[in-house]
Amino acid sequence: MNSTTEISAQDMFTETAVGKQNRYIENAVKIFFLIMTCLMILPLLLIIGYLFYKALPVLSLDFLFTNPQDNMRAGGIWAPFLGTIYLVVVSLLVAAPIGVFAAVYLNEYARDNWFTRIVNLAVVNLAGVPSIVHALFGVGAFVLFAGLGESILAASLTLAIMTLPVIIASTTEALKAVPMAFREACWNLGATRWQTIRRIVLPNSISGILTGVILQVSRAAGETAPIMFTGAVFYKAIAEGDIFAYNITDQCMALSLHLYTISTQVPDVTEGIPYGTAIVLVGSVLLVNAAAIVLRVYLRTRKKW
Amino acid sequence: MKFIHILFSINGRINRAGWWLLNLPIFVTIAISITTFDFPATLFLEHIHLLLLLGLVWIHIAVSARRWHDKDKSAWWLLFHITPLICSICVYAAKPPSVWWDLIHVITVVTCLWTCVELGLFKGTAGGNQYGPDSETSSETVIDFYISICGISAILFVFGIFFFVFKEGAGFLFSGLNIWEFLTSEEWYPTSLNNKRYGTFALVLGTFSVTALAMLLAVPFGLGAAIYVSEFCSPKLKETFKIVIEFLAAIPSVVWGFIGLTLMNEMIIKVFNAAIGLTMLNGGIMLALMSVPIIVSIAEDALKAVPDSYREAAEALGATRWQVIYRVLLPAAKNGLLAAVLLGAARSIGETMAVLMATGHSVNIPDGPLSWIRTLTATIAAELGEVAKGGEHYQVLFIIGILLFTITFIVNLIADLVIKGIRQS
Amino acid sequence: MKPVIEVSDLKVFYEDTQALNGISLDVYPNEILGIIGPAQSGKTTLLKVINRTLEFTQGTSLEGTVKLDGVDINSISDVHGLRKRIGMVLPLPVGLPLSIYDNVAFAPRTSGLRNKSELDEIVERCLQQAALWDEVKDRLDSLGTKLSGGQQQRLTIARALSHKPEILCLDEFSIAVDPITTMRIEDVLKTLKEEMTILLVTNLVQQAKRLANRTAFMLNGDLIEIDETDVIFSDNPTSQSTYDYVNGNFG
Repeated sequence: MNSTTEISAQDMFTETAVGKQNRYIENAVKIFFLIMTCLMILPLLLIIGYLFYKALPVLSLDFLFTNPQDNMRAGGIWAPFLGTIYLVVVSLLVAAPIGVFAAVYLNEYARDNWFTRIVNLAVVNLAGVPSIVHALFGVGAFVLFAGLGESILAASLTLAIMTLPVIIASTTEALKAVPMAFREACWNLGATRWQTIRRIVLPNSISGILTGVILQVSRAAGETAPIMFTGAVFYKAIAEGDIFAYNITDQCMALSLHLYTISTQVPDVTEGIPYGTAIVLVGSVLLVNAAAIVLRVYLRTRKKW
Repeated sequence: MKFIHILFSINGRINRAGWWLLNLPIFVTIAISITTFDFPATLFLEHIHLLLLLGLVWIHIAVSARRWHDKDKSAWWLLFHITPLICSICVYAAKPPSVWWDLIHVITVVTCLWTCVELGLFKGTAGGNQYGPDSETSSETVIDFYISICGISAILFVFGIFFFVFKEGAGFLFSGLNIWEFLTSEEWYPTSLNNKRYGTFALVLGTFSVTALAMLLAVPFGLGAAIYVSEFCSPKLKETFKIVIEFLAAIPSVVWGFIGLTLMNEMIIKVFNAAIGLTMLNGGIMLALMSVPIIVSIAEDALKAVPDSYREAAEALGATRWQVIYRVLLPAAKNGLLAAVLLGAARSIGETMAVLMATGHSVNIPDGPLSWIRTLTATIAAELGEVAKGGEHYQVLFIIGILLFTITFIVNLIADLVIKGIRQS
Repeated sequence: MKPVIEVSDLKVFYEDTQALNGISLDVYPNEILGIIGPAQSGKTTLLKVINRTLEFTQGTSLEGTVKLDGVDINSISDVHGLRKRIGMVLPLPVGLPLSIYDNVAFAPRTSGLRNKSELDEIVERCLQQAALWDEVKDRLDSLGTKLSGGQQQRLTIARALSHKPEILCLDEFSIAVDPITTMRIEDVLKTLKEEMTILLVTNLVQQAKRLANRTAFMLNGDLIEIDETDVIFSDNPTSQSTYDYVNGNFG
């Protein structure tokens, strides 16, 4: 009697055929999805490795600090590199305050009504507008209508509007992470809306806001289409080593456009140069992204509640 | 109404901080205009600039008047710095021969600085005075004003984009362009000398076929990766994967185009024994790699949004993880997954540089993955630089822009409605 | 005696449900008015109307008047000044993510006080009044959010006292506090009564009995009865449901 119950209890936990089959399926599925994920990641490593390998012969500090020479067939990337920095900085100066304030408005001021829903919809759609349409807008609005001409200013404004949703999205997320109870406590103490935002909400969401700003930088640095017709040119020589070589009403070169030019428009470019340009562009963008990630992780560890 | 009062009214009072907050942007704008543009020559040429400048000057006057009121003084005190300023501008414009006229400029600088100190540094009268209660407009109100303006600006930008693109293309759209032919003809000969034809059918087909190919590749991988990351992964591995996906999303489109032009080009030539590797397949693979990060992150959000109680309930009934996924999670998250696919597709439709560089760039009705195609976006990017401003061809490119804007707008709108649908149910 | 707060025929609507069905009551200076009643009876809503934080909830509307010192609070343009006259302590303690010192100095600073020694004085006075000073005086720089629940609740009370309110509203403050601390805070309230008027919303019937001069009983948005505490807790209050609630027959 005793022994039979033991056996049947054992039987209860031995695997049935269906159970076994399920386990196999489970494992197969798991591995299948893992492979899919890895197949997505593989190209990233492959591409960076390939670009780096091909660019190795030209990579040096000189490459960064000399102008393109011989009709862009040789030399370095100083003029486009500096141009990209100008475009990014000016667009950041415009987009950061507008983006952060817009997110503050949507999250802290706007009531849940039809108007707010339209504003939100506008933000979503702004993020979805193709970059080349932004370029057309930049031509129509800044270059022609506002009379800025093809200039760093016009190109940066176009980039700023294009990258605005990046800052709005991550700032909104950061603001939402601050518990509502903190705001209520402040209001109960008679603090005004802005005092609450400035003393409690913004200081505690600064990491998310900075992440958004950094991502905006990375996005703006890589864009080509919006600046092609609004201020970036194929070639413009500037003083080497002078970081104030551009004026904001000038046209400028840009890394992304330079890569396009030398890889499609200019014949007989020295083998490594397009790869070098590409790796500098990818490298700076990924470095900036890495900075955002490090910042996020670091600030998460010193969370205050 | 409140905002109009803040900017333009000369009645009431404003405190010091409010005065600075409203005036600083004006000072900065004018300073930048003077130093970077050939002031006043270009600035006064364009009527829009003049209008803008007058607006700014009026805001300065109105705000300063209210600040004088705050100090319980009449707004006539404005004349103290405005009069010499006007004299100074007249002198500057007329450039009289004697240096003695420079004295005017000195007087202007002194009175303006003094006004700045008086209005910017000294407190107003405490409590109410004859012009209104204490701090009738405070810095708070001004900040609220700025924040609201920024929030509303998103709408202005979207309308602005549509308006300006439309404005540039409107002339030819309403007179001359055969819209039926524009949409259905495959003949794109904008530079032909005697018979210009603007048919975008081949371009539209190019855009949609390369997008479809990209989605065919990206959707299974994207959703598969999202499921793996969301359901099978350990938290640490998940963090790593997410970072890698973020990196993948960050690679600029021109670099993808460059990869298509070099690495992928060679690979396609080798694998398919083709003459040229710059094909729809090439562009499709590049677009797939570009839209996969979007699909993964939005699909993962959708899976994360399914309550844990569903998973627990299903697993408590003895279901394996895979059974939970395809019987419970996928149906529950289907709207979010659909939105992920739509947004990925919208990204592909709007992508410019990668398809410009990788798809062979020839106007063709595609007849297979190895055919050369050209997309709407690539056409604008390739031709806008070479056309005469304001000409027919130039306007047609803007009309293509409107078409693109409309397509992506609709796709995004649907995706947004689909996401909203989940939140409501 | 002239009442500090006069509530007359106050009705509050949350979208389509009515939270208060027209209640009227007066609060007199330097008394503790206990407000008791089961959940969903509108006690918290009443407090939110008085300091006008109900405005932050979407879709609310109200009828009737609430007067503070004879002035209709809804006609006051400086709503922040109004809130500074009323101290509010919520059921769940909320330490702001600031240091303990900054938590207490928050309200004085928002009204423009910068003088360090005055701030020091306020912080010490408030923390002592809230019976927290001895526990935290050596670590005023540490985060307010890292204190224990009971300590945070006393921090919240200290903060509510920091702008010298004329009226102190406590909304079920003892939920997150242990019994011993509750007794200490109750002692504090007895002395604070000399300086201010206290509205004590409580879920503990006995707490109202211990502290309140008068007690109001609310049920489903109606004010059933308001009277001297002794009367409410006697064997024959006016309403039967008051008797039942006080004696634990429901709620």
